Amino acid sequence: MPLIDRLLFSDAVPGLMKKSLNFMSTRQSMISSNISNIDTPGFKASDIDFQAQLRAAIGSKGSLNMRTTSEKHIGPSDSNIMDLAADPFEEDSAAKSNGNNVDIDNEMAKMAENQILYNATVQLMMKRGSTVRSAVTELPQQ
Amino acid sequence: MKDITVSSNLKALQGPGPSQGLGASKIAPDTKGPSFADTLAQSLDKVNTLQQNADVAIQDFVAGDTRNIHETMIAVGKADLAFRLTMQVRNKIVEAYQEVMRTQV
Repeated sequence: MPLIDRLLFSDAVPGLMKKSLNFMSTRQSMISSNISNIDTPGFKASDIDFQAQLRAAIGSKGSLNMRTTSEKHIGPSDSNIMDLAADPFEEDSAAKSNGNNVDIDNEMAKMAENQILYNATVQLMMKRGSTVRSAVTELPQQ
Repeated sequence: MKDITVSSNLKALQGPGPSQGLGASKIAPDTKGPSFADTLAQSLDKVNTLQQNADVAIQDFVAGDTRNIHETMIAVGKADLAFRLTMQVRNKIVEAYQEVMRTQV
């Protein structure tokens, strides 16, 4: 594994944050498509539960800290996190008379929550990156 | 900084007096408080622990196990602040060492 990758990019947590950001933006587009289809007859709202998927992926590995089982392995084996794909399911709220089951209040609430989580994750990522950057750029006085 | 040569050099720098460690308030000339080197080593361990706590807090947040975003932010902020403080302390120590080395004999 290249030296730069080993030094800077071999943490598992930034990959996890990036994956969750992907999921959140996917969820955002699903929610907006739900909202825009509020009058479509027969449309069923769909959603993804990425947090359960991430929880399962983290839990199955134990801690996400780098732990290698053989000396030839360097870096986290987080392929089971990176390979997670969105798994949309259909909401099972009651359908209106035209077969459409989009609940506008629920969708708006989900959208607000999703945006908050997204912003928070981005900020956490920046903060964590600034810690590493300060280690690189703080110079002792010569 | 568990390096033995660093610790022993620091102890040599302190000189023969008693060391003002974290708990050594009552001073008899040969009181054994925690030495400066031990305090430094403890502080580095604490910084490392804070970083690991921040990582765990981020994991919990992403997996949806925590409903308090502020706890995650506080944990990450603490780790960042402690790390920057340690960086500056390191800078000052290096500067002091260089100052001493520049002394004309």
